[in-house]
Amino acid sequence: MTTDFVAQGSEGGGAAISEIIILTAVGAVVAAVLVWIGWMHRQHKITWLASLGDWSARRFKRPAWVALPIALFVASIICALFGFIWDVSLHIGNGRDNGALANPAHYFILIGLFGIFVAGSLAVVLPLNGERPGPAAVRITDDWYAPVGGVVMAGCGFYALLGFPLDDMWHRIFGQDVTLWGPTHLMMIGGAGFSTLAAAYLEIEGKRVAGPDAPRDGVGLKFIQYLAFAGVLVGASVYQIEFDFGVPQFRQVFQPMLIAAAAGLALVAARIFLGRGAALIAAVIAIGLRGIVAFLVAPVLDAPVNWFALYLGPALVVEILALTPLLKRPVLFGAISGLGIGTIGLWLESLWINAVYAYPWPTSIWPEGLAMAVPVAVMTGACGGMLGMVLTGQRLPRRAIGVGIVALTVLVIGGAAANGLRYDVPQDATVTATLTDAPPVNGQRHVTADVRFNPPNVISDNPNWISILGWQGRLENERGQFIDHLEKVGPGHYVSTKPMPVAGEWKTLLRVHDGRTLAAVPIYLAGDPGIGAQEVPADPQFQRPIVSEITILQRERSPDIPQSLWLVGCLIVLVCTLAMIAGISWGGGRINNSEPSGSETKLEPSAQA
Amino acid sequence: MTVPPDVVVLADHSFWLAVPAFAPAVVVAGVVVFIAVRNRRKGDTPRSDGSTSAGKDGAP
Repeated sequence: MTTDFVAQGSEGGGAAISEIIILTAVGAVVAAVLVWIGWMHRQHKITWLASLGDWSARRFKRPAWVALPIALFVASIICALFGFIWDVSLHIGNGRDNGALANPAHYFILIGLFGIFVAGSLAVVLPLNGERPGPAAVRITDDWYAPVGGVVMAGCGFYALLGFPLDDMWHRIFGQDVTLWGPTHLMMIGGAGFSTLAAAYLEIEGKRVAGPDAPRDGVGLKFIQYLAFAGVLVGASVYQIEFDFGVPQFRQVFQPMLIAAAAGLALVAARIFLGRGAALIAAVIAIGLRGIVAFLVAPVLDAPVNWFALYLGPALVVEILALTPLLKRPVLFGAISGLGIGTIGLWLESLWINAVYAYPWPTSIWPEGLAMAVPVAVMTGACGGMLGMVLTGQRLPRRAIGVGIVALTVLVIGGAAANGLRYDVPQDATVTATLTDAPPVNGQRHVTADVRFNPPNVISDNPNWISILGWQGRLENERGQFIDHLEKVGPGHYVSTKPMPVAGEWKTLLRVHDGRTLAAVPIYLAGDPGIGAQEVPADPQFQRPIVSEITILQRERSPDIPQSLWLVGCLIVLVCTLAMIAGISWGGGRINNSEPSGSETKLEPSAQA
Repeated sequence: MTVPPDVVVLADHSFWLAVPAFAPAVVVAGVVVFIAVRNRRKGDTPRSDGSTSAGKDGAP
């Protein structure tokens, strides 16, 4: 044990000096080794990398600059996915980390994201002797060309990694935002999620170089292609994770929108690219991926449980629509599929959500939920249609139209998100609670609550949830997470259905979500000297005001930070994100531009350079 | 600074944790971009395939 951590309230803490030295040294060595390998390879002074590439090329029937990077990419992204889900569960169960290296899940995330970047870089570095990796290849020097997919993949990995230093700055300025939807957190998960599209680009570039005479893919290679689209689906689902764990910190209407958006992009593209049944197969493989990770995290590692959307309903909608002649017009097919996904698909998905999720969808969610989900799904479906065109070598619509569709998609998602982020906190409303002691669990005090809202009509007849959430109670205590939907016994009068923990490090609160209302009342909050927060005791009787939930769930956030600074921070993250989307769109457009016009014929490798 | 031994409270320090991954990424990306830019600076002379740039406007 070499480190002693110290509390530094305003700064949010600092790493021990020995850690910093070790990590910096590791960083320098890794950088030197990577550059050295790349340089030696390009100077023909080492051959093992080329040999490894050739071996994987034979093994996977793709050019070396596709086979080796994709193998590394698949391993990396699965590693990152596991680390990510585990990390979220640890934060829910345990709260903040005790130092940089104290959270084992961080290693998986970091290595995974780094692996994505290295995989992209590998695809860039591998082609030698002026070999052009496909007609769309990007010129680095006169005899060095890089595949578009490699450039985009490295870019996505870079964007994701960029999230780390920005995240640190963010935490220093604004305090910790203990939510997945911190802007810098979104960069990390978004970069990884969208890198799956780069893998698809790389694959199609490799297939084009292999030409029409290439041997047919076996079952294993076909599976990898389906796996790629399961990856796109899982990658596009990362924004839903708070809902999956039952600790959504934003309004519930986001959930159907996010599911529809992911389905529109991934399933439409999968169906166009891989043919009949592909949307369903991708959804099933995605269930397998998420299922394995969820199984490892919850029963095996004993962390909080997470569920995941099945996407079977949306996939069914896409498959059925693809039986019509619509399929011949991919963008329209995507948009109509989005419409179907955002309506019937979501209804089918709601059967699953309502069966297993901690927070089922009440009927009152549908009007606003559909208003947000349908336009978003129509647009992401259209984007999925364009992605499918890129991957099948069909000519995209005119540049202005293509760019316009992507831009409109961003705007529609932005508009829907802006609406989703708006919430109200009832003014001058309070809660009167009576707590009754129940038998302790693990030596920790547990109570049941009798709760009355004042005024009683502050809650409508069909609220999204009136529930108790306990979290960060540490994994050894009921996995550190507790959820109880209160039972209504009268107007504005609710009671517990099971005893809640109100001791140790738990943060236990009454959550209220009713349409636009999103608020909470603290019941018990452990004292937190690290951020200078006092304990909120679970008194036998109390009357407390209903407050904004963010002040309780994210009390690590620093108050008193000027709005302008917050805006600047968000704008920086926004610019980085738009750059990533632009990069992915550029990649798709560039691959498509190099297609021979109006046909699906594969180009022979060009030797003109 | 003296702190009671039982106080072990910290925010996470993703920056330092990320240095072994982030710093190499910056270096590698920087080197590739440097090489590409240097080549374009000196290489705007006509080349065998007639193109001068692999910019964003389409295949060279």
